[in-house]
Amino acid sequence: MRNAARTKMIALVSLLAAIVVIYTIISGGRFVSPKNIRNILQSTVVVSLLTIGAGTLMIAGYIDLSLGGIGSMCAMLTAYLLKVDVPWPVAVLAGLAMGGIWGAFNAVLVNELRFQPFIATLATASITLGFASIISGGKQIDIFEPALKVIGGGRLFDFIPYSLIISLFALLVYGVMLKNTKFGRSVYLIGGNPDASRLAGLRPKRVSYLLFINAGCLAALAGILLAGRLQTANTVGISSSQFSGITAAVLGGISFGGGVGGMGGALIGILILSCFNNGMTVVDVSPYWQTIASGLLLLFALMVDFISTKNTRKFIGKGGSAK
Amino acid sequence: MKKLLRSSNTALLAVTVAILLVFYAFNPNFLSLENIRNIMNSMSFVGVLTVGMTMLLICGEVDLSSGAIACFGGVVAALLINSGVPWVIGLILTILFGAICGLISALMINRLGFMNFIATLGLMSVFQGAVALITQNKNIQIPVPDFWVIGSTTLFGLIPLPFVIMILLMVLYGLILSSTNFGRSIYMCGGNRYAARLCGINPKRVSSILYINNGALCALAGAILAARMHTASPVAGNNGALDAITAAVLGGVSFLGGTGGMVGCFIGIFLLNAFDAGLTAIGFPSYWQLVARGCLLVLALCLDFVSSQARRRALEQA
Repeated sequence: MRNAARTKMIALVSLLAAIVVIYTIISGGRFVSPKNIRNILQSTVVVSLLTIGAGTLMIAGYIDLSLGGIGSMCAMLTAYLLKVDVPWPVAVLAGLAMGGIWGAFNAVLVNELRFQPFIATLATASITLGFASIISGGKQIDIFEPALKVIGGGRLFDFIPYSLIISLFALLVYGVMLKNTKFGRSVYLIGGNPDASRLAGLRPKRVSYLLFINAGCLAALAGILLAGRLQTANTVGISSSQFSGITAAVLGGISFGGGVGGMGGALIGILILSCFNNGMTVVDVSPYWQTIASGLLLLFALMVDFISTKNTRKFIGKGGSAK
Repeated sequence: MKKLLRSSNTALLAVTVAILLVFYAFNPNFLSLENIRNIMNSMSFVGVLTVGMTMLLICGEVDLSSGAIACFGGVVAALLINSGVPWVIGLILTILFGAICGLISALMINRLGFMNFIATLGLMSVFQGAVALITQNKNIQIPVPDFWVIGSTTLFGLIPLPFVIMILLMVLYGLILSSTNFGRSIYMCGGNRYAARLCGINPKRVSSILYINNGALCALAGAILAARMHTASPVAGNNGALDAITAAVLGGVSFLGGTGGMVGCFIGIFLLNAFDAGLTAIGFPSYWQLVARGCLLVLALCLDFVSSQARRRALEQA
């Protein structure tokens, strides 16, 4: 099992390396110029935060399709509060809290009313995206608050974006939490076998509430950071990055069945996705190809998953017959 | 069981009528002939997608690429017909093209064992990108009036032909579901795949047929839409998959498979589109439709939850 995971990790890292090398050669070095590396890193921020939220939920066997909608709606709320002269820390906190509330809403639908996560969060996605437009009357709201501009788009030593530090820090914290804490292990257990985990004394319902709320807050953070950088909140917000988060998680080895994967893999998944898309622009491929490529990447990730679990299946099969 | 199913459809129908009356009370124009024709027109596109989606959902499968296939279908039809292919042959080729798109999903899901949800999500991206690439994100005009006929004919001055096509498809697939061996095997695969296999049904074959069928229906829907608009648009119907799922679930098709039928499916589509039209009729901005759609979906699932609880209690008492 561990062996299969390692094989897969090696495959992913080599894929990332191959992408970097190929783009560097085609672009004549422009791909690895400091400015472009910064662009790539900047573009990982929103996806990273969405991937953490979606990834932890997927490890526990859930899925959340509403993160894009929640992020857009919360960013819009923050922008609106700033417009009516609420102090920026309050506005940001209100945005994050609203993300938590939508997450809790999802958790209630899934846990109390036993909706399928897929379809429950689909409904939430629609509602939140609608609210994003309702708050602003269907227009965008410009943000003039300098603090948000600094957090969203400012750079440490004029090179490392603050928002990147936030997202990398979050990846690290969640990675450690998943691997080294009781709570983290319970997430894997619940994803692997919810019934067994309940019998073992864990509380799947509580964990699922926490994960949904957490994903909602992270999505809100992603939305607010992007709005801060662009100095405007618009009605579609981060909803187009929604599936990128899921794609990055799957690319990085987090399975849809739950119970496997981690933040290290997720980071590689995010980098593959971001490098791939950025490289397309650098070597001047039509942006339409990006859409095709992101789909192909996802299918490629599934293929890798298929091959690596095939080996595991064979291995388990042999072990079984030996007994 | 049959009675319960029928009663849930009746409840849904009652809700629909109540909603219609509320909209009518606010704005009498809501039930004008013109507006009813608009609702029929807007139903017919999503309706055909929902027929295919309903079949898949009953079998416990889902296809997120169906809107993208429909869009692709419209573009393919436009390209074929503009290049001089007679429109009937162009339409048939388009449907075949859709079937091939469905076949790709079927192979990935049933041969390679990909999760249906994520595989079709990937394909959705591929198809959308391919459409953007082919059309360079521009509309393609179809200056062939013969082809417009399937999209813009109106029967008896009221009923649009696309609506009639949708109804015919619903009747056809309703009969397949209720009165053929294949139809019953779809319910069995959705209800309990393992048991279905033990009964000698090949669930992979059933699921593959349904994916291919869904692809063909989607491409047909896209071609009809293009005929109605006289144009193939690179974005038309991109949300089709989610709309179709919403409509099907509204109509009582469970996301877990094994339940639902074409009558509920029809009511679901009607409710969805009537609600959109109604909100516009009483003067709400269009983005309220998004909120309303989400709320309708939650409401439908709540009804489903309540009725399944009641069913379980009835079973326990028996």
